Amino acid sequence: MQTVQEIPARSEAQLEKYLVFQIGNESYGMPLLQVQEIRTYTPATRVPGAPPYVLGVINLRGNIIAVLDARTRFGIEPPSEEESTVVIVAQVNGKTFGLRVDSVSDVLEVPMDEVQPPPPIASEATQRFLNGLVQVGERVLILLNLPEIFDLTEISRWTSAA
Amino acid sequence: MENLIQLFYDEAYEMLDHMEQLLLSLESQSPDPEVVNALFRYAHSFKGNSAAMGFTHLSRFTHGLESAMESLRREQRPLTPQVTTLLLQAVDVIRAMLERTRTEGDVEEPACGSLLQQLQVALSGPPASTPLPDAADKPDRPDKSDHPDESDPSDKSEQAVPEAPSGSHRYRLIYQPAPTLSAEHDPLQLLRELEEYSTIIEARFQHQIPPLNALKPDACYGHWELVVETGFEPAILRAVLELSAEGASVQIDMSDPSAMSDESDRLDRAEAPQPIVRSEQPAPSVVAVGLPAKTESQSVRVATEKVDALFNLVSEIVIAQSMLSSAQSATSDEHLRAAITQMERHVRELHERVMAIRLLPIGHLFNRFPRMVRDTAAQLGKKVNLVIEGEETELDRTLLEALSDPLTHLVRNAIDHGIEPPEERRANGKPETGTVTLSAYQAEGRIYIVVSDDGRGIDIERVRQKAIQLGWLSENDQPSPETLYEFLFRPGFSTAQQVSDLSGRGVGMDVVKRNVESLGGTIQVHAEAGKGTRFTLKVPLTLAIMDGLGLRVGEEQYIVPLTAVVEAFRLSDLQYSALFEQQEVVNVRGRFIPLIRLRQFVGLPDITTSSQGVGADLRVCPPTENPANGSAGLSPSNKPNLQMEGEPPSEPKNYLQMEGEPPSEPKNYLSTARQEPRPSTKSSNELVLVLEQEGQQLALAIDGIVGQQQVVLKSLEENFTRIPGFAGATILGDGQVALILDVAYLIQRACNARERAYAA
Repeated sequence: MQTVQEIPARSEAQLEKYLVFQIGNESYGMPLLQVQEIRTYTPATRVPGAPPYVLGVINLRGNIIAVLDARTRFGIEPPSEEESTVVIVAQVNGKTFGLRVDSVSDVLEVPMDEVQPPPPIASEATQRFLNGLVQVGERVLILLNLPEIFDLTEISRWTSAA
Repeated sequence: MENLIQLFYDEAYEMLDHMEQLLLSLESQSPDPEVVNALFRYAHSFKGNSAAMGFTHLSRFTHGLESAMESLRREQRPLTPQVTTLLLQAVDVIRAMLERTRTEGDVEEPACGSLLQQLQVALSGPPASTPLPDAADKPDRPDKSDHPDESDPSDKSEQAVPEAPSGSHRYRLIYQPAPTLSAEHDPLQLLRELEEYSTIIEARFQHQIPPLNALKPDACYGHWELVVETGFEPAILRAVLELSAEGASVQIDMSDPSAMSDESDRLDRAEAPQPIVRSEQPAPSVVAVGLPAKTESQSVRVATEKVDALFNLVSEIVIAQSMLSSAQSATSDEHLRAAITQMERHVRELHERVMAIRLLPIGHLFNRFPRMVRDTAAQLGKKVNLVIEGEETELDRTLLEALSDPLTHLVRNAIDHGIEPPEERRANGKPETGTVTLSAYQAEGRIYIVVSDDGRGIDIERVRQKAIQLGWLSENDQPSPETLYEFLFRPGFSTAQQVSDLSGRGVGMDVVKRNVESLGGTIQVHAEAGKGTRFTLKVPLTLAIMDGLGLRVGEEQYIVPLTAVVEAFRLSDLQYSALFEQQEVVNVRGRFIPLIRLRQFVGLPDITTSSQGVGADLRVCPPTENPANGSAGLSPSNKPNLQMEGEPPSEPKNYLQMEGEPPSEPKNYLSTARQEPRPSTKSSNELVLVLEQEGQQLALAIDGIVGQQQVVLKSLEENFTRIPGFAGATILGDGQVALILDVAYLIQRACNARERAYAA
C-alpha cells in the first residue's frame, strides 16, 4: 500500500494521492491527506438509536470515534464473517471517524483533470457519496465524497428520533 | 515582543492580586508599615513596567498612586477604611485599564482623575489622632522627598529595607554561630544584614578556646556580643540572623545592655551606651519579616489540550500494561516477569502524576472571596471575618471554575441571611463580628467544601410556614428538619424577609443545587437556630473522572453515575403496573416510580416476554426502532445471556399472581448484598435500580450489575455527535468503550411518557 505506482502522465495536470481500498470487487479512493491511519477492525461498542451503518464507537488512543460500515452505507450486502476487514481512520471536517472496508490495497496518484462526474445510473441515495470516476491504468477508481458519507446531521436525525 | 507583553500582563495581574491581598490584610491586622512599603513598591514597579510598555495612561495613574502611597508612607498615616476602599478601587481601575489595553490599546480611564483626587483629599485630612513619634528622631532615616529608584544602588538598601517603626530600642544580642565551622557562614555578611535592620552600636567577639589537646579543629569556640539599636521587634532581628545562618543560635536580651561594658575582654567600642528612651508605642505586628518573600511561582503554562493528549496517551499505556500483566503468567522468563512487574509500578505512578497535572489548589478560587466578603459586608453594614481553611486542597481546574458561582452564592447568602447585624449579635451575646468559614478537604476520594457561618441559622418554623404557603405542605405536616431543609433548594423558595440587592430573590439555592449536581456533586445543609448554618458540598476530584456503576444488559455494558443511584431491587420483588399500557410504574416503599427498561431503551430484545396471555396484557412494550425487536416472544438472544449468569432461564412471569400478594417490603440489594435472595419461582434475574436526580426518581430495569468503578469521562461529540440519552462514554479496563447513561434525560423521558399516559 505504500508503493506509489508511477502512472505515465498524459498531461501536466495536478496529481493527487489517493488511498485505494476494496469493497467487493470494486476499487474506491479517498484523498490520502485525509487518512490518518489504518487499523484492523475490532468490535465496536454499539450506539443505541444510531443508523444501521454506524457500527459503533471505538477507543482510538483515548479518543472516542465512530466506525461506519462502508458496505451498509452503500447498500452492499455484508461480507462473509470470515473475511477480515480493516478500518480506515480519516479526518472529515475536523472530526475523526473510521470507515470499515474489505481491504486496503495501495496509494495511487490520480490526475484530477481526468476525473469524470459519476454517471446518473447510481441510485439517488448513493449518488451523493460519489465524487467521480477515474480510469487509472487498468483500474476504474470510484472517488468518494467523505463529508456525505460521514453526515452527522443525518446520524443525529436517527438518534434523536429514538 | 509577544513574550514580553505576556510577561508584563502575567506580572501585572500577579501584582494586582498581591496588592489586593495586602490591602485586605490591613483591615484584619494592626497597620504594618511594611505593608504600606510593599504597596508603594508595587505601585512603583507598575509605573515603571507600564511606562516601558508604552502605556502612558496606566503609567500616569500608577504614578499618582505611587505619590499617594509615598505620602502615606512618609507621614505614617494610618490606613483608614476609607483610604483602603479607595486603594482597592484603584486596584480595580488598574485591572480595568489593563483589560482595555489588550483590546483598545492605551486609553484613558475616566475614573482615574477623580479617584486620585479623592485619595489626595483623604490623605490630606487631619493627621492621625495618635501622633506618632517624630520621624526626625531616627538618625538613620533621611527625609526623602523623591521616590527611591530601584536602579540606583546607593538607594537600594534604603528603598528595599523597611523603615524602622518609630521608637527604637536597644538590645543586646548574643550570636552563637553553628557549633561547627563547616557550616557555610560568613559572619561579616551577617553583620551587614543586621545593620540593614538596626544600628550596631557595639560588636565584640568572645571566645573560649580550649587547651590544644581538647581542641576540635572544626569546632567554633567563639560568639559575638552585639548591642544594637532598632525600631524593629526583636523577633525580626532574630529572624534575620537565623535566616542568614542556619544552625545558629541567637539570644536577645532586652535588659540594659550597658552591663556589657563591665566585661573585660572587649575588642572595640563604637560609642558609650546611651540611656534609652523607650516609647510606649505598641510594637508592630510581626507579619512580614523583613522583605516579603517574593512568591515566584515556579510554573510553566501548558495548554490544556497538551495535558489532555498526554492524559489520553497514559490511559492507553495503562490499558496496554494491563494486557501485558495478564500475559505475564504465560511466560517463565524470570527477567521478563520482573520487568513487567517493575513496569506496572512505574505506569501506575505515571498515571497518578499525569492526573495530578490537571489539579490546582482550591486556594485559587478561595482567594477571590476576601474581597467579595469585605464588599458585601460593607454594603450590608455587617461585620464579617472570613476564615479560609484547606486552601491547598487540589481539584480539577474545570471544576474550580464551575464551583465559583455556587460558592459565591453561598457566601453571599451567609453574609446576607446568616450573619446578623452587629447590634443584634451584641444583644444575643455574640461577638459583633460574625465569622464565615470557607474550608475544603479531601476525604473518601471526593472533595468536601464547607461554607459555614456563626449567624442566626435557619428558622425551621418559617421554612415550614413558607412551604405551607407555597402549597408544598399541608397545615398538619410536621416533617423532619432534613426534609424542610430540602425545600430551601426548591425553585421559588426564599425566606428572606425583604428582597435585597444581593440575594433573596427566590432564585439561587435551586440553581446552586443544580450546578453542584451537574458536577456530579451533592449539597447538604445543616443549621442550628441562633448558632449558624453549614452547607457541605461534596464534589468529585475532577470532572474528567467520576464514580460509575457498571450495568449489564445482554452482552452490553453501560455506566450510570454512582451519585444518581439510590438503591437496587430485584424486579420480581416489586409490584408494578403499566399506566394505560404505556408507561410502567413500580411501587418502591409505597411510592410509584416510572420504570424504564434499559433493554428497551437501548433497543435490545426483551428478556422476559411472556407468551401466556395475562402477563402480556399487562406489559405491552412500545415498539422500538430496532427492527430485530419487532415481534414479541422469546428471542433467541435470551438464552446465551441467561447462561452467562450461570442461572437457569427464568420462566415467563405471571404478573397477576403478584397482585394478590400482600405488599412486602422490597429488599434493597445495595445494602443487603450478602443476603440470600428470596427463593422465588417467578423471579427473573432483572434488577431495578432506583435513580434520582434533582429530586425526581426513576426505576431502571437492567440484567445485572457489573460493579462500581472510576471512569474517565470522554466526549462523544468531539469526534461524533451527541447521542440523546447518553452523557458521554468511557474506556473500560480492556480498552472497550462503554456509554454513560444520561440520568436526567431518562427521567425526563419517563415523565413525558407518564404525562402522555395520563392525558390519554
